[in-house]
Amino acid sequence: MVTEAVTYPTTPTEAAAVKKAGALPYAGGTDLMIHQAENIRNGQCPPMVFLGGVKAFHGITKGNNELRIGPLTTMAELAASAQIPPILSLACNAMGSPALRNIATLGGNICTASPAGDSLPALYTLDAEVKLVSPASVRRMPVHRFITGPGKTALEPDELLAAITIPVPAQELFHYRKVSPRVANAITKVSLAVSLAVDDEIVRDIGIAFGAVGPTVIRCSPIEDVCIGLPLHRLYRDRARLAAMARDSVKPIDDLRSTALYREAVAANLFAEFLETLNHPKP
Amino acid sequence: MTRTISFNLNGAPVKADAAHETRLVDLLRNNFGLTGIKEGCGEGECGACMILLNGFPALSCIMAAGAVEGQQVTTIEGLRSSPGFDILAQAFNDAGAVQCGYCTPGMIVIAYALLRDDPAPDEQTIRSAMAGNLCRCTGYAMIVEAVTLAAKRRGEAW
Ligand SMILES: Cc1cc2nc3c(=O)[nH]c(=O)nc-3n(C[C@H](O)[C@H](O)[C@H](O)COP(=O)(O)OP(=O)(O)OC[C@H]3O[C@@H](n4cnc5c(N)ncnc54)[C@H](O)[C@@H]3O)c2cc1C
Ligand code: FES
Ligand code: FES
Repeated sequence: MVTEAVTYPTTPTEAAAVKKAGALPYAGGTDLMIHQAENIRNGQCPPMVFLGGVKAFHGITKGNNELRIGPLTTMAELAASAQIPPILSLACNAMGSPALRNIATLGGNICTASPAGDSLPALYTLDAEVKLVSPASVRRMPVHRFITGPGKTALEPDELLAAITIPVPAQELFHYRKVSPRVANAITKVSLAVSLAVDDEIVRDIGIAFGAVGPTVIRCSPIEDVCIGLPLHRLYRDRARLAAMARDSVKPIDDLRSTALYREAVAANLFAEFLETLNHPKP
Repeated sequence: MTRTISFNLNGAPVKADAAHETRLVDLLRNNFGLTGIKEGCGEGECGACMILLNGFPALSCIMAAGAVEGQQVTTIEGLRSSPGFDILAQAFNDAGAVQCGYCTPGMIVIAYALLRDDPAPDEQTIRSAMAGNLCRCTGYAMIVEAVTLAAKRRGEAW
């Protein structure tokens, strides 16, 4: 039974206990209110637990080895933050519209686990992890393990997403591109996130991830393995072959918004476009 | 389940009896009679239901009433007594930026917040700020012109 007193919990474990009792966690509400629209109209909506009062779920803090982002951090806060890797700011700034970004949260975007969730490709390339709390336990896992399918996560019924962590120092070069039919409020057809660390023009580390071209984000480990250890000009020279590898690694579907064939072609082109930028690496 | 929700509405503390999951747009229109707020799409896409939540533009059709407990909500009605509102209203009028008027309250609310934070936005800034506000009548050029005009006339209004 969800009582009045606990619909506004103040600690993570208290909030997790209310979820366990059957309440729907409410972060920004921008996905939840739409999923529950019919239930709300019919008076059938389960009780909600509003997470906003949980202090520990807010804010961005930098530790020695990692950056910790509270799940209630809004897209607008992330878009404006100088503390987080720019690729995550860019991706969050490409979401929805300004007013949507003022209320939509990072935690909500991750827990929705949409194949087109715009924060996800960036988080995959940054090797982000999630911290999950229940009334009795705390566990961590990489974000790519947390998301198990379209709309599916590893959350147990008594668990909440309590933090997102990103190892620091993160990579230092980033590339992000979202393809969608208009600037605002358009669901991604294909997106590409690349996070790159370079020593003396040699690729030390690279994360490559595509959004909206598979049941979950597609991280291109085989391409990453080929790239690591190579000088940037080799990536540029081999761009046709690498773009073909990108085309082979995505698994898009036909839907209302695009065909699989279109998405495959765009994914390859987006990757080629990124490789083109390496011809004149910026200082 | 009906509960009591307490928040600050247009500068005054208020209480409302409603289910937590009631959409904020319905709470404001039905319980408070604030019909300046419009429902267009009901899905967060059009901006007709724009309010300020703690001063920032937010979409009341995809927010639950329970989420504003203890927060500050400002609607177009709450802006009416401000000098910025008069300047915006006059500019929308002068630029011919109102046709059917359904989108106008949302446009004014977001323009109000934009001009508060940016005294002299260029066209691109105005278009980006208002990218989530749809208008089916004007074709947007007059709306951008109205906001530009309001910025020029802003004086000490914000
Ligand atoms: C008009 C419009 C445009 C949009 N555009 C985009 C876009 O461009 N890109 C994009 O990726 N998305 C977009 N979205 C989808 C949505 O806004 C995002 O997914 C957003 O980040 C969700 O965050 P929220 O805080 O509103 O989540 P909520 O709706 O509050 O929550 C989403 C889900 O996650 C659960 N949840 C939330 N927080 C937690 C937690 N800490 N622990 C456990 N469970 C939790 C909730 O119970 C719910 O099931 C759009 C939505 C709308 C309405
Ligand atoms: S009615 Fe809220 S955005 Fe359209
Ligand atoms: S004036 Fe009619 S929708 Fe904008």
